[in-house]
Amino acid sequence: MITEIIFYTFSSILICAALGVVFFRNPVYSAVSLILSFITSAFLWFLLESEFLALILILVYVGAVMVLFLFVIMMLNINEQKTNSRFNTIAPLALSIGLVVLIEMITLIWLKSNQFTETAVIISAPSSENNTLELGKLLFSEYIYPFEIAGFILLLGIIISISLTLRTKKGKKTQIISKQIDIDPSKRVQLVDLERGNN
Amino acid sequence: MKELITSLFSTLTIQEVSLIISVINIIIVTASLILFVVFMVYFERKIMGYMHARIGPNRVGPKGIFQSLADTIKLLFKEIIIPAKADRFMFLLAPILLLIPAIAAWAVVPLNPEFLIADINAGLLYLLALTSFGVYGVILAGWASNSKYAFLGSMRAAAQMVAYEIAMGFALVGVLMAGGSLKLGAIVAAQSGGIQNWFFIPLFPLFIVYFISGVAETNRHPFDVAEGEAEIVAGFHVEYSGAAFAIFFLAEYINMALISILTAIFFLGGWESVFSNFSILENSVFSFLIQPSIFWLLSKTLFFLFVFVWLRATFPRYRYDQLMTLGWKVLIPITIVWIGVECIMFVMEVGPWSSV
Repeated sequence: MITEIIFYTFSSILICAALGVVFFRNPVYSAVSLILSFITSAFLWFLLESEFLALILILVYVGAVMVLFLFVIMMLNINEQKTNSRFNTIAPLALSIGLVVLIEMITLIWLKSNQFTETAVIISAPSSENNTLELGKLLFSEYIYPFEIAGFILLLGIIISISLTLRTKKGKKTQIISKQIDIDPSKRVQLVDLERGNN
Repeated sequence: MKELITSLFSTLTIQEVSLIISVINIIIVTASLILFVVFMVYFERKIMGYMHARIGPNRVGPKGIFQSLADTIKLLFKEIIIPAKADRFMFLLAPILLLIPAIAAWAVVPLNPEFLIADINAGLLYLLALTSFGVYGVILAGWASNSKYAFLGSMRAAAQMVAYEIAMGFALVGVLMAGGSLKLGAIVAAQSGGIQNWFFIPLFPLFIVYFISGVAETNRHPFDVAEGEAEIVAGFHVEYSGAAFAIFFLAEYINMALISILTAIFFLGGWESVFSNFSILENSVFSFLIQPSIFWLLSKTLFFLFVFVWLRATFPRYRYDQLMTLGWKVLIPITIVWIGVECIMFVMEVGPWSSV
């Protein structure tokens, strides 16, 4: 009973937040409602007793990805779009893509409706008491190759994006801390003896 | 306490009783946190005063102990000014977004083996998720103020908090490996049996990295470029006044206490006693010193709070690029290397985890 109330409350908040992402004119408000929708979907995962996935969703998407999103949106300083002109040109394309996604999802759910009920039963079973541990064991035994490959691709992504953006300007003045520490104080100042009364 | 409530209201179900107990615990923790902040402000100003060879607050009450109470009353009765060009909704939302995660994080912090509001399996992940959430309060405050200085402050804060969060997370990976659990109570239990089993010995670099990134994460000196009075007035909260400013202040101090208590739990054995190996004391008057108790946890926490103040009184502020260099090029490599060292220690069976 309580679970149902919580579920419907959070799902309605999630739907409202998702609509807010699309319909807010101010991009910062859209980003904030996207954050809200991430958090409410994490709560829904909590209801399925998969606390690891829920917390990782908050940690990765809310804690890292959305910070960068918000950062960029604020830096660009986009003002509220008053005109409706661009909306009309994009609308047909957006609607058709949305329609394709909707059809795909409906067929998927309709085809797999039997399996869905089965998995729901499995998830809420008390066997997954510590699902972080279970997930870790599975990732490092059964799914070790996909896991390693994904990690390798991410590492490549980091290296490539750094090497693409890293430019060292010629003649740029930088501080090299090790050189600063290594200097010999006795060589920095040259003391000169002046002969008295000779100038 | 459970028995008391069930005996008083025999008609309640078990669920309702546990709900009532949780609510009481939440009220106790929140109230003591707010009282703590009042005490902490006085503590900080007095210690800073002595370190600077001044007296510190000494006007309100004996030795000035009611100074922060007077400041609180002043702040609460001041007018909250909302700038005309500010985004009103976000301007008022931002301080709350900073305060709520700061308090909510305390739900999984155990104060002694029994007292814990929520015993969830992934306590450590929960803490990481909530501390990463706090950055939105700062960013949105800076943006909503519609002021150049506030905006610069929030940009700095965002970059800094994202950078140091990574070092912090990696340091916690080491703790997680050593403790073998995501529950904070289990991590403390893994350190039981004397000072030689505390994690700060085998994980010393991680301990230092964790505390430094904790200081950076709370935007305290010497990492407070987000506020940088000499450069950008007061950073992200320059437009805030009265109670709204007080909330920022409250959140900063609660976060400080959180970092201190977590450092004590992860690296200094939480409520474990310093003297737990001194069996001479066992039958004497001081036998209570051997017992693990909340006294030890709080004194360790107080020590780290003192270190926070000490750092503030001692160090000059970092320059922004030096701050980023420290985060990305020093702290993160150290943690990665030490996780490797820890793996080798596991294989060689060296360290407190091998004896168990």
